[in-house]
Amino acid sequence: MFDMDAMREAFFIVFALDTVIFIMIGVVVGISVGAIPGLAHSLPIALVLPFSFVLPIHQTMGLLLGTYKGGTYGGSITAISFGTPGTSGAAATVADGYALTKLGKGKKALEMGLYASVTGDVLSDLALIFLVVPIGMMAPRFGPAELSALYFLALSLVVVFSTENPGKGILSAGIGFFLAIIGRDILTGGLRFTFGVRYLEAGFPLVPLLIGFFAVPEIIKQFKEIISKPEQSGIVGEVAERILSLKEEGLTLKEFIGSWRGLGLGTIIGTLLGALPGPGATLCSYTAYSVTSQFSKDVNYGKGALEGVATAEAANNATCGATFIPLLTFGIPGSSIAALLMAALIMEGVPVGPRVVVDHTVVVYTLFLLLLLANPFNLLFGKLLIPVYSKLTKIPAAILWPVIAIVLVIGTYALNNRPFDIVICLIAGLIGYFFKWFKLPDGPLVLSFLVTPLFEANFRQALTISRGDLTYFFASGISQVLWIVTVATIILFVRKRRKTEGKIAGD
Amino acid sequence: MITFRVTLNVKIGLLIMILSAAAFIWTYFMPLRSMELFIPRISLGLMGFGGFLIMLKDFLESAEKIFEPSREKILPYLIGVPAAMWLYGWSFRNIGLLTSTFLFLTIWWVSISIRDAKRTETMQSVTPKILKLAALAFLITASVQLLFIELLNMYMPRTFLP
Repeated sequence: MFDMDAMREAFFIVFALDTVIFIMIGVVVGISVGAIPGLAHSLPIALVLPFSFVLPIHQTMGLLLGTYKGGTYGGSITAISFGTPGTSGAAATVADGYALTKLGKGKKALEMGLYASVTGDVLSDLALIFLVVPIGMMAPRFGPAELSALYFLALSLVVVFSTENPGKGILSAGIGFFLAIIGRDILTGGLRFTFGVRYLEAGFPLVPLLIGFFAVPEIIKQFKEIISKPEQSGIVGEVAERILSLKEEGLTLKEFIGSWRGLGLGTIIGTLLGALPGPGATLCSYTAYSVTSQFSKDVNYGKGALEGVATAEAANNATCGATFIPLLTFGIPGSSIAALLMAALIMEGVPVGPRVVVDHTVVVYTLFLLLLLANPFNLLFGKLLIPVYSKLTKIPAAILWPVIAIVLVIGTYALNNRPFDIVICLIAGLIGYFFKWFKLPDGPLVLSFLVTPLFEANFRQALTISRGDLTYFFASGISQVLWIVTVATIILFVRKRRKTEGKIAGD
Repeated sequence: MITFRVTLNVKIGLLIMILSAAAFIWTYFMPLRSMELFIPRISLGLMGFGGFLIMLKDFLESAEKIFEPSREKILPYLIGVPAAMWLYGWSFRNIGLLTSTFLFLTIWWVSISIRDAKRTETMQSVTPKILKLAALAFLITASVQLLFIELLNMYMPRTFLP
C-alpha cells in the first residue's frame, strides 16, 4: 500500500541541500572513474562504503547511488571516444559509438549515449517503483532449469543475430565458452586448462579481459599508424589551436526520437534482465543490442548507427533501477554492485529482505527518490563533460594513445593489485586483434564468457536436483516459453536469412 | 556450380577444426570427471563446428563474395606494442611509478618529435617542442600519481626510485 506520510517524510529528506550535494559528488566521482579504462565503478562504491559508518543513510545512499549511476554512464565516454570501454557494461557501445567518432560524429554519439543512459535509467527507476512487487514475485520462480533456459536463449540470440557468417558467430561463442571455463571448476574445485599456471586457477577476470579485448587491438592499430604513416598521425606540437578551432554538430531531437526502437528495447530488456540475479549490465546491453539489430531499419547498425549507441546505453543504465528489485523484495543482490549497496544499507541498520518495504517504508521511498534525483545530475554533469571528451578525440594519435596505453596498464593493475592481470589484458588484446583481423563478431564471445559460469552452475544444479533427468529442463511453464522463444527465434532468423540471400541472388 | 578454392579462410577454418578436435580428444585423457568436462567439450565442439562452417562457406560461396583477411604485415606491432605495455607494467612496479611513467612518455614523444622534425625539415624548432612535451609528460605523470596513489590508494611495492 502507498504510504503518503512516509513519502512526504522521504521527500523532505531527499530534497535537502546536504543530500543533493552528496548526490552531485557521487555523480562526478562516478562519471570520472567510470571513464577510466580498467577501473570498474564498483571500486569507488567500495571506497565510499566505509562512510556509511559516519554519515546518515540519506547522505550515504545519495553518494553511493550517484556514483553508481554516474559510473554506469561514464563507461560509455571512453567507449565512444577511444573504442576503449571504461566499464565492462559499455563494451556493447564500442562498435557503433567508436565508428561514429571515426566518422567525425563523436559529439552526436556522446550525446546519444548520455540521453539514452538517462532515459533508460529514469524508466528503469519508474519500473522499480511501480513494478517492484509484481516483478519481485516472478524472480523466485526462476529456478536452475528456468535460468539455464534463459541463458541459453540469450546466447542463441547473440550468436544468430551478430553475424552474416554463422560459423564465425559460433566460433566466437566457442572461444568465449573456453575462456570462461579456464580455472577452478565451480562445484568440485578441479583445475581445468590452467596448464600449471597458478595465476590461472582463479580464471580469466572479466574486467582485464574486456578492457584488453577492446582496447589493446586499437592501441596496436594506432601505434602502427603512427609509426608507418607519420604524415597521417599529426605533427606533435600543433595541437591546441586545431582542437580549439574544431566545432562538431550535436545530436538533434529528430535523431534522438528516430532511435526509439533502440531506446525502447534497450530499456525493456535492461529492466527485465537486470531484475534477475546474475545477468548484469554487460549481458543486458549485449542481448538488447542483438535483439534491436533485427528490428533496426538503420543500414549502418553495428557500423556506426546512433540507434546502436542508444540501445546499448539504455539497456546498460536500465539495470541501475532494476537491480534493486530482487534486493528490495527478497534481499537478493543481483550484481556485485547491488551487494555493495546492500552492505551499505545493512551497515546503516536496515535489514534488507522481504519485510523492508513494510518495516522501513521511509528508507525505501528515500531510495526511490534518490534514484530519480540522481538522473538530472547525471544528465547535467555528463553534458558538461561531453565537450571536453569530444575535443580529446581530436588530439593527434602520437600524443593521445601512449597516455591511453599507460592509463590502461595502471588501471588494470589497480583493479586487484595483481600484475598478472596486465598479462591477461594483453593476451585478451591479441585475441581481440585476431577477432578484428578475421572479422569475427565480439558479441558472442563476451556474452558466452559472462553466461558460461551462470549457465554451468544452474545446469549442473538442475541435473543434480533432477538426478540426471533432462525433462526437468522443460517441466515448468516459464522454461517451456523460453525454449519455444529460442527455437522460434532461430527458425525466424534462418527463414529471414534465406529470404535475404534469395533476394540478393535475384538482384 | 561449386568450385573448390583454398582461401585463407579455409586454411584458418581447417586449422581451428584440427586444433579443437585434438583438444576435444585430449579431454578424454584428462584426470577430470565427465561433468567437469561437459562445458569444455561443448566449447571445443562449438569452435570446431564454427571452423567447419567458415571453411564450408568459402567452398560454396562465389569468388567475388569471399572476404579475405588483410595480409598486411602486422607481426612486429603485435609483438612490440604488447611487449612495451608489459615492460611499462614491470617498470612501474620495480623502478617507480613516477620515474617510469615520465620516462616512457618522454622517450616516446621525443623520438616522434625528432622524426617529425626530420620529415618536415624543421629541426631548428624541435627543442622548444621537446621541452613542451616533457612538461606535458611531467603533468600526466603527476596526475597519474595523484589519481592512482593518493586518491585510489593503489598498492605499490617498495621501489628504488619514486
